[in-house]
Amino acid sequence: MTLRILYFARLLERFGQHEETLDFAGSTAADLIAQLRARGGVWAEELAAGRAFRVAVNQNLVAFDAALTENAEVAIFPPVTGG
Amino acid sequence: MPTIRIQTEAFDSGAEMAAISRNRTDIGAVASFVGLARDMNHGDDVRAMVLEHYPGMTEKVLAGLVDEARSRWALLDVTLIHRVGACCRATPSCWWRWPALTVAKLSPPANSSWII
Repeated sequence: MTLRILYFARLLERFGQHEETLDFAGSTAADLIAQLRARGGVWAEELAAGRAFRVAVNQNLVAFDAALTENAEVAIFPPVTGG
Repeated sequence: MPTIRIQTEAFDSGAEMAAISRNRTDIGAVASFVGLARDMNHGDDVRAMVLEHYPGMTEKVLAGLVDEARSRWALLDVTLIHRVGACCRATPSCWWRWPALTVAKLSPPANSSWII
């Protein structure tokens, strides 16, 4: 399936891109993270297990086991902080 | 009707509070929450702050906050303003006094109203 992936904040800076269109063969958000992590380098580093980041699908926060669907807009970003 | 604004411009929280009850006699109180950008974060000096946002999702999340507030309290009105972009700059006169986040003018039970 085809996905539109958006990166924000630190991830945007580290990956050097705000968005990309990706051909995705898996089914869940966790599969997508694994596919991106497999690129190595900053991708493996920033998306490593234990690093804090969130995933939103079609502008709703989801758990990593959420299923992705054709043409979904998937955003990956660090947790939002304030105060 | 709740008002939700996402904007790069600074705003006057006092004017927003005054506006909420203007021409209305049914509001008995106005409450507010105004967030300010500070000059430090976990011990680091902060010289500027830029709020990045995700257009579309930001609106959805803020609307959800207003809905939640209205389900918890009987609010007469709500104004929620969230700044994005550069929210402070290093000029001594106005360093950390620019409101970054105001939330709502609401109105709880009998006759009070809020600005969050």
